[in-house]
Amino acid sequence: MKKIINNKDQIVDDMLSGYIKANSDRVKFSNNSKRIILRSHPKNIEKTAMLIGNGSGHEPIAMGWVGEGLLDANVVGDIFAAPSGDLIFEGIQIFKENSGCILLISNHAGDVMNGEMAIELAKEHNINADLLLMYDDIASAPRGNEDQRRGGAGTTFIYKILGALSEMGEKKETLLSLGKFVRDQTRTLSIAVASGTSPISGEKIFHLDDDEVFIGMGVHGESGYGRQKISSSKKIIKFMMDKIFDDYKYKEGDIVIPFINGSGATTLMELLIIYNDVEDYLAQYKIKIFKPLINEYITTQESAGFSISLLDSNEQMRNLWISPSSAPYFHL
Amino acid sequence: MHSAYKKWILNSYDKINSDYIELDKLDQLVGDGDHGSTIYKGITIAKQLYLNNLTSPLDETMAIISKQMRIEMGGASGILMSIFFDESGKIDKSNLNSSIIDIFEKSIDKIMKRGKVKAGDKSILDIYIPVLNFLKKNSDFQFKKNEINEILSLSLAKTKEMQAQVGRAKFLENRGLGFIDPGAKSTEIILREYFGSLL
Repeated sequence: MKKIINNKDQIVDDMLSGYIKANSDRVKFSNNSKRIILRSHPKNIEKTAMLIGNGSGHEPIAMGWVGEGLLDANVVGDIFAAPSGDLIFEGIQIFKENSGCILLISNHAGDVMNGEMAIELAKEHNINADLLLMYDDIASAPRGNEDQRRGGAGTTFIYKILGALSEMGEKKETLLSLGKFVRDQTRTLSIAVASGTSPISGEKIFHLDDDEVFIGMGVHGESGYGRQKISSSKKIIKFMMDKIFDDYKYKEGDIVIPFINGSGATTLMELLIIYNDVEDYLAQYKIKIFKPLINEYITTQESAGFSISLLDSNEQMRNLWISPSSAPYFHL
Repeated sequence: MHSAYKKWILNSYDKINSDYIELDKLDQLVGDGDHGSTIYKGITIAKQLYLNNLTSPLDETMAIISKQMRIEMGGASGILMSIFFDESGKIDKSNLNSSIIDIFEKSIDKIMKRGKVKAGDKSILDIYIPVLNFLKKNSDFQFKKNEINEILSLSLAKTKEMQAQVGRAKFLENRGLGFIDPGAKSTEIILREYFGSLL
């Protein structure tokens, strides 16, 4: 394995320590745990707090999105492993005086089990907390079974839109309802081009031949639509967008927010070529675009590949999407 | 029961210490390739905490171990594997046989609820359930160590032909067909050592 680290057991702690040092004007550790990242300037307790618990190894998500106008806390697990329910509950307890608390959980087995446990503990302690399960990856389950789908890069729309609305003081029930609406309006499809290396095992996470790509692969190498020979961006985008359009009925005049996310080792050059082809595809159907997000945000080490996420938006969502945020790694 | 449990934890540690790299390799075929390292982390904590809590009541010691395993291991493995360690502390010397059956019943119930998993899904349950069925059939506990070991080996081998319905393996191209489940393998090790120390 060729990674610049110190000690394998200290990767996450060393990384978080560096992150906090580099962004000390905006984020800090909680008093009790160096696995809980908080905003330096917390929200007023009359507002609903937004938390996420997730495994690390996918930086800058989710620690990079803790900030004003976005997330209030990130509970950080080990590499590719959800944090324990106990630790997530510790994160929730920080906001026990807030009017409410929403725990965002991306639909992956370990995240869900530990998230549900944390919410049960919160309820036992009379803390007003709810879990919002996020899923968007169309390759992981067919239409009609949307709640079985994995959480992918499209969960970003929920983070940003709810984060912005919670900052304005909207109550928890309204936030949850908007979060579910955003989830229902979002579709994501990903493609893997080359595997990254697990910092734990030192091995490739999955195998792809040099001339192969894998459509629909999840962030941990889970399968989707299958292997294909690599081809031009236009051909790949047409294949992926056709799948997304089969899954969600877009209509002329819809305004979508696109998010082109790189998996860790995809160049901005490629991501912009991909975006160009996505926009051309949408234009054929007279679908309008609003402020796209394009870069590497939800990564799996040095994996090459990308995902396309589309949010079929309304005016409220668009306004919240572009509202300001101090999160160190969210840049529209 | 402390001496039997001490033997169980220490033997499990030794076995996992020698097998965890193999377990990681097995997990590379169906997961992130770190199941062995995660279990090793968990059993190392269990060993340290057990030796530090030898004088506490067994249920308290096992509850401490279970909680710390869950915290340190994280993920699905931490929360599901720690359930048996917690339940195992409720063993009752005066009512040994039925308390062991009760430990398995409660562990299975909790794993099913927390993991939303059922028999045949290719998970740790596919070890626990056949063991419980065997214990119920032999509730006088007049069986030999090798009989329970055979149940464990057989149950583990059966996971090879199962298609994963849960966890990341559910999304593999072949759902892990042809490979034993890494979680089932580590559970088999821990239960083999459990009965090895108890019987």
